[in-house]
Amino acid sequence: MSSVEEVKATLAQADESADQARSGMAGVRDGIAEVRRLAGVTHDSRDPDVEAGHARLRAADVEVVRVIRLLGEAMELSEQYRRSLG
Amino acid sequence: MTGSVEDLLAGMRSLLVAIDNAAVSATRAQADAQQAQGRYQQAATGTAHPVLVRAVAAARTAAEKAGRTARLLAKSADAYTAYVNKIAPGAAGAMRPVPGAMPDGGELTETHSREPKWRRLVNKVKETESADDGIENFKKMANDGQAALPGGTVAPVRPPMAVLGPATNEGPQVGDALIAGAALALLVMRGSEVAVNIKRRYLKRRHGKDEGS
Repeated sequence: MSSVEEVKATLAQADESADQARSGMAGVRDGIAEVRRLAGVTHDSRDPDVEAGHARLRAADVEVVRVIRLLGEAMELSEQYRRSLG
Repeated sequence: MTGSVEDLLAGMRSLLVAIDNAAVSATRAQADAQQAQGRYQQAATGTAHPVLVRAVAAARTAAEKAGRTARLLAKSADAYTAYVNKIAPGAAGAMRPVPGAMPDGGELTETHSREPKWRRLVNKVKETESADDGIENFKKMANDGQAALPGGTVAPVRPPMAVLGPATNEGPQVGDALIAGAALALLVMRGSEVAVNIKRRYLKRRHGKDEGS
């Protein structure tokens, strides 16, 4: 059985990893914004491949926002538990 | 190729590079989220506190979704690549990394630890202790030596990640050729020694017989 201090330390490490992941995903969001800007080179082509590319980019963007929200949620819950430990 | 098509291809190249970079970042974020999940899980050992259970679940879902993001980005790049190939068949090949072009850490370690053919060859020379089977071994080693030359084992040319033009990896191949050449020279030297020893033994035996008769 881990001591309270050990649990707190493990939670701190977990939060650090979660925060890294969140920063990484923020970078991905910026990257996708850049890709969408660059996609202007296709001049709104109606080519099915271009449309598929755009659609997947939009879907990726949606996922990124969810990941960032979930990681923030995990860190908040971790903090809440840590507080309950005293 | 008209100027506008060139511009379009240049733009698509930048786009594909940006997508690949984003996909790599998403994969890294997935690994970080998995690590976070593992640590939340570790902290939750021995307790079923609902808050911690929710934290574990959130980190797990985040990791899964980060992986899905990376896959969506890869699929998006595939779709754009298909479009580029319609405009200029084959042009996308120079824009995107060949699958498996960037070996992961494990692959690199494995490749590094794998004993190169030329080294196995040199070891075989060292193992050849008996002069009687030396010539046979030498023939076999010479054949192996031929196989060890880069010409016999042409590795596919793999451009590095996000190449902006044709890439080659001549450096290592030239290096391999030199090493293989040195190994062959060693073999020839060793083979000559073996041949001289056999001849010496033969003459000695013959000399002994002549004296005996």
